Amino acid sequence: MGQNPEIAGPLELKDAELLRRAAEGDESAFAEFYNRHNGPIYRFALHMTGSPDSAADVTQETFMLLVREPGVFDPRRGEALPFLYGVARNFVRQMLSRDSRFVALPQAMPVVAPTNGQCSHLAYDDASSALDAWESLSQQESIWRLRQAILSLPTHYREVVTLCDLEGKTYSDAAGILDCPVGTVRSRLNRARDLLLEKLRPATEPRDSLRATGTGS
Amino acid sequence: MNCAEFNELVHSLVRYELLDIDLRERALLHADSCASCAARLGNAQALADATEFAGTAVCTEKAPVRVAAAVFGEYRRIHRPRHVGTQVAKWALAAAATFALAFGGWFGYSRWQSNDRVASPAPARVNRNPVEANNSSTANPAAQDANATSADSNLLADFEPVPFADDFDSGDPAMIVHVQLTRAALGKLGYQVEKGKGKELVNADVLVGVDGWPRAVRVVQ
Repeated sequence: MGQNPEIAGPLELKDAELLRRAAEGDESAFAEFYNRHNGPIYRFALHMTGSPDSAADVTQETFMLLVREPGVFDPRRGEALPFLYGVARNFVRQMLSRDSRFVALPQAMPVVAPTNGQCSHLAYDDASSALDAWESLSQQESIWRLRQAILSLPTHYREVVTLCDLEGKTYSDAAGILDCPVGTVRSRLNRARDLLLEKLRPATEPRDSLRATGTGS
Repeated sequence: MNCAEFNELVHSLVRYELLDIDLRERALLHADSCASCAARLGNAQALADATEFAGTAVCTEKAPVRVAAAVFGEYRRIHRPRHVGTQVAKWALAAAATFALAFGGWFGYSRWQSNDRVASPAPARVNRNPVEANNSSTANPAAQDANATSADSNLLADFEPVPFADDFDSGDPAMIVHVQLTRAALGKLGYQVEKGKGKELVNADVLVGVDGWPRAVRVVQ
């Protein structure tokens, strides 16, 4: 939680100044702005859509809007990042609404290849390594199941879980992004977590896998 | 505390968002005494850990390169033409200013020249070809007389018209430019140059028309 690597340092230019320069044709200013904010927007779209391609499309459209219409962002109305989140949120909702006509195929858990290029049964030559590998695989499975559960949440619940639980935003930041009161964020988040527990119940109750697979505590 | 109250705050409890210590103690006491709520506490804790882990696993993810390529391509498409257009406009302005200065210089010179002329007769014509000039002077005595009486003809007498250039009339506006050039350069203008003397520098006056092209050349000895 609380991870926020894109906080601007004291010597860095503010977003509004970067955007003003970018609108005047200063590409380096635009590049700095893009590098600062493409990560959070891409991750938000990734968590919301569950598809890297869709997340890339949403990120692209979000920044394209700033390129084509630099005047849409008014620094007097707030910071640039919440504005970008708002734009990305609209694109995500459009995309989800458009794609709701289609039925998604059941997704298989992605298999992560061993990093040393060997086959998995050859990569671990002692018992402790094998146990680590098994734990790692279980962690991956747990995360994959959690992501599937988050993707099955209604959009307004998915948004608060993504912003607060996955991206580490505070309730007030999330309220600013979602343009709703903090109390609404709090209640939605509570309800979303209850729903997630229900969705994960078959796995969590019999063997308490989230705890057992070393996902923390 | 009952189970319903516990369920309301279990997520805050596991995320250390429950700042009321008394309430926290009562919730933990209830979990100790209720197996169902204890299990719920465990599950909520596992969920909190899993979401944190899932968030951390992708916290450095960035948009793929193709997004940057598309966005910056669009940025350049929108901003570069305006940039280039500004440059072109600057150069066009500089060229126009240079042309205006040159035109002003030529105009002043021609006015000064026309004031200098007293009772100037009909303008003499610079012949395109010196040989032809000789022939025509013998063939046309009237023109020869005109040349002889013309002050302009004296001025232009030593000038030899540049081959392939347009005909030049002494009444046409022009200016004389003093230059130093090689004989080879004279050769490029169509004059005959002796072999081996191509690199030799000569001083010359070039009669330049209003369009900037040379009309005649006078070699200064």
